Amino acid sequence: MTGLPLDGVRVVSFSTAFAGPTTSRYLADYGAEVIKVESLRRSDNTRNSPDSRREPSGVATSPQFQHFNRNKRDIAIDLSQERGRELMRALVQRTDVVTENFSGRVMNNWGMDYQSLRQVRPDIIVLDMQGMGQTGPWKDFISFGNNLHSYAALTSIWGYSHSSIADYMSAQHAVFAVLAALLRRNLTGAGTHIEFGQVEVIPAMLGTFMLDYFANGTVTRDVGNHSPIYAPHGCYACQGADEWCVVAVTSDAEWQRLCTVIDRPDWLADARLAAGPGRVRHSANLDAGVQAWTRQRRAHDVEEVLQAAGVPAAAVRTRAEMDHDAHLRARGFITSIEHPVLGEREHVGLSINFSESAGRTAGHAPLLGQDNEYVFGELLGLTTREIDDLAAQGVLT
Amino acid sequence: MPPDGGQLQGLRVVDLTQPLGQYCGRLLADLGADVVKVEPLVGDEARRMAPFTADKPPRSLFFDNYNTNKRSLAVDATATDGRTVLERLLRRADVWIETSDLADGGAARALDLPALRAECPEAVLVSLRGFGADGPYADYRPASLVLFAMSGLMHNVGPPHGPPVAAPGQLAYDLAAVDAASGTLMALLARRKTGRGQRVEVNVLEVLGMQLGPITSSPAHVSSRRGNRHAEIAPSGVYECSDGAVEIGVVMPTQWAGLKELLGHPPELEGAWDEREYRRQHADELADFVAARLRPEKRMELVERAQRARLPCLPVNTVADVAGDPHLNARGFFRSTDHLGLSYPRMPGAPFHYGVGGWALRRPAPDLGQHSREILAADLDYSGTEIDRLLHDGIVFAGLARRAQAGARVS
Repeated sequence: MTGLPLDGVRVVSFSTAFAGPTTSRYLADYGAEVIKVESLRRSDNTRNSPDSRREPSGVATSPQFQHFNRNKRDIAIDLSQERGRELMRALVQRTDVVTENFSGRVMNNWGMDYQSLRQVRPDIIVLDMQGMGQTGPWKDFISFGNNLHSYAALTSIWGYSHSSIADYMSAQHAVFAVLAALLRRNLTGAGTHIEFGQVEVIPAMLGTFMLDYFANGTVTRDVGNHSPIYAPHGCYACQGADEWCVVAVTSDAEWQRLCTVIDRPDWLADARLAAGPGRVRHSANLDAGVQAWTRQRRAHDVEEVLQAAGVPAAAVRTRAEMDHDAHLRARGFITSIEHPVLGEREHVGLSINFSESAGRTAGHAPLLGQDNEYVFGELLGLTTREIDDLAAQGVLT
Repeated sequence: MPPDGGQLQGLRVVDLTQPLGQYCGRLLADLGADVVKVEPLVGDEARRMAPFTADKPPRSLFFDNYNTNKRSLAVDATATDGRTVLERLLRRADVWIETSDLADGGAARALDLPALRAECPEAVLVSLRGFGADGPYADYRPASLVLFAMSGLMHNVGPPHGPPVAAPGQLAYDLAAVDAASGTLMALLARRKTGRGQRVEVNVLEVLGMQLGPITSSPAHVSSRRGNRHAEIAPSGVYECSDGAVEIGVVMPTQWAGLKELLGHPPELEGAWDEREYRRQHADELADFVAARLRPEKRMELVERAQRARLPCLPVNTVADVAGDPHLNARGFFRSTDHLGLSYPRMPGAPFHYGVGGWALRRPAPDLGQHSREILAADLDYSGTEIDRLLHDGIVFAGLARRAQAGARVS
């Protein structure tokens, strides 16, 4: 092991809700020192949820907040006061990356926009990640993951709106964008501004559908579980109530194995079905035939039998089933985090595995202001007395 | 470094992925990395995947989407001389990306990449996998649909009495490809400090699994499909208007106040409805009430009014709406393809806009073997005679124009 890949990188994270905190959480998981900026007046909104508990300061915390904010430090500072902003500028001088997903005017009002921050630290990297971005006629529209999912056409293509995917997509792309800027700064010494429009993530990622529109005028809707590439490719009813499986044949070899397992020599002999395009043309018949077979079986039996034969297939799992999934547990993907208020709870682990470097999962989500002493004392050189006075004056609370 | 060179200019990548996982190399190429896409002599299977253009011959838009900005080297990895070409290519590269557990796993299947990496300590080997090398599903066959179904993200999406519905396209693999690209950059940042490369492994199931968040302790928790109304937030989801639909979400008290303002403070919503938990418990009743009020509205007028009331409300757009969207177009999100010589006029850009050294459409997705000759000559120092022999022997394919000239054949 050679340590954490982002060891030595300091990040100041002004963020709330899902996408912004997930971005800085990725950086923290792989070694960056992430300092989350909150205040008693302005704390992260995921702290409040039906299963919240109170921190000693009176502010709430929650398992969800922990998921988005593990491994981070936290300062409580009121940036509506000039003394708070002065201390923040001093911290930014010692910082590599600033990330924020507040609504558009907030950082400007505090004088914490990129142009101001680069006066303080010329090679700073600043990531602004508003839902609608910082330019364009509707930049001030309020959005969140779900309705960006709809605005950006994923709901119409899919047929459904999903509650978490858009936020994760945004965070993952934002992490990539920050890492590229860090790599370039290593080579050139130059920082940069990254203006990130969450609204653009989906059309960028679903480029195939956009290109089909630009090239052919095709407006793809409600694709369901069908594929324009593969067949059979669908979700099929199984024996139990509300029990489903999926089968996805992605090669001729898998097709031949499927026909053998479900005992369809007629399909195997049918030249029209020998290659992918022919199977896609006849997918309705294939779906009916596959479902006639799965209906007689439990979903997990379908998965076991088809996977053993080398055909991609799975039981559709509920969320609760995944919480207890044997594979994720055997791989150590489910980890435990001890939190001073929430106690010990299980969480997901890491999605990027390194042979030489490490990631980390054990650091609990911060209590509000828990690192004021470290940041304002150790990093900025204030005495304990000064920090206490600033707390009493409402600057560091 | 020229200002338009991209954040990753100078980075050399060999992309062995096919036919999925190609978004990883695309992300790197878009920021200026030199990404060489390695293809078999018959071409990546993705070239034969729908949808297509009306060109003669047709271009796969699936292929274009994932391979814009890359170069193509077509080589027979099952031949000894072909593997030698690939080893020379890999030895001079910073990053190797592969998806060899897929049904059509590409050239990585024919190579011993871990052994070669042992001889190339600076190389970063990125393996994008369905399930990972150990655990009960280690030998499972991967596919986007299969991984999405297993992730727990699908069961509660879809019609209440019909089948669960997976995310469209190859979204599961694309999500994992973003983490693979980030893992690549983290390994390169680590290499700056240690001088050593390493192996990066990203598994689709775990990338999707990140969205599980805190693990629930109750095995009795059962998810159920609710169409486009979300279970935990009320009111939320998709509401039909007279000319389309909008999606709203009411989480915070200010947003609930905004909804009541939008609806003209109806007396039916006074009292207990102000409590979030009460709304959640009576979600269907509330949704029916809101739906009836919103149905006669025109959707963009409604969005403007809702936004003035600080209610998160946006239209449910089609692909055509997005292509014509005034906001995205004012932002310059869609890029002209005029300089690429393609039959379609525009392509999507990226969500990240750098002040310096950014994202660009530098070259169209390559024709099969389009860059074979230049890669062999300029990058790998093969002589003209050696190149002619590789083409003649059918080890390397250098594109259709070159084929007639060199007499190479496609196996």
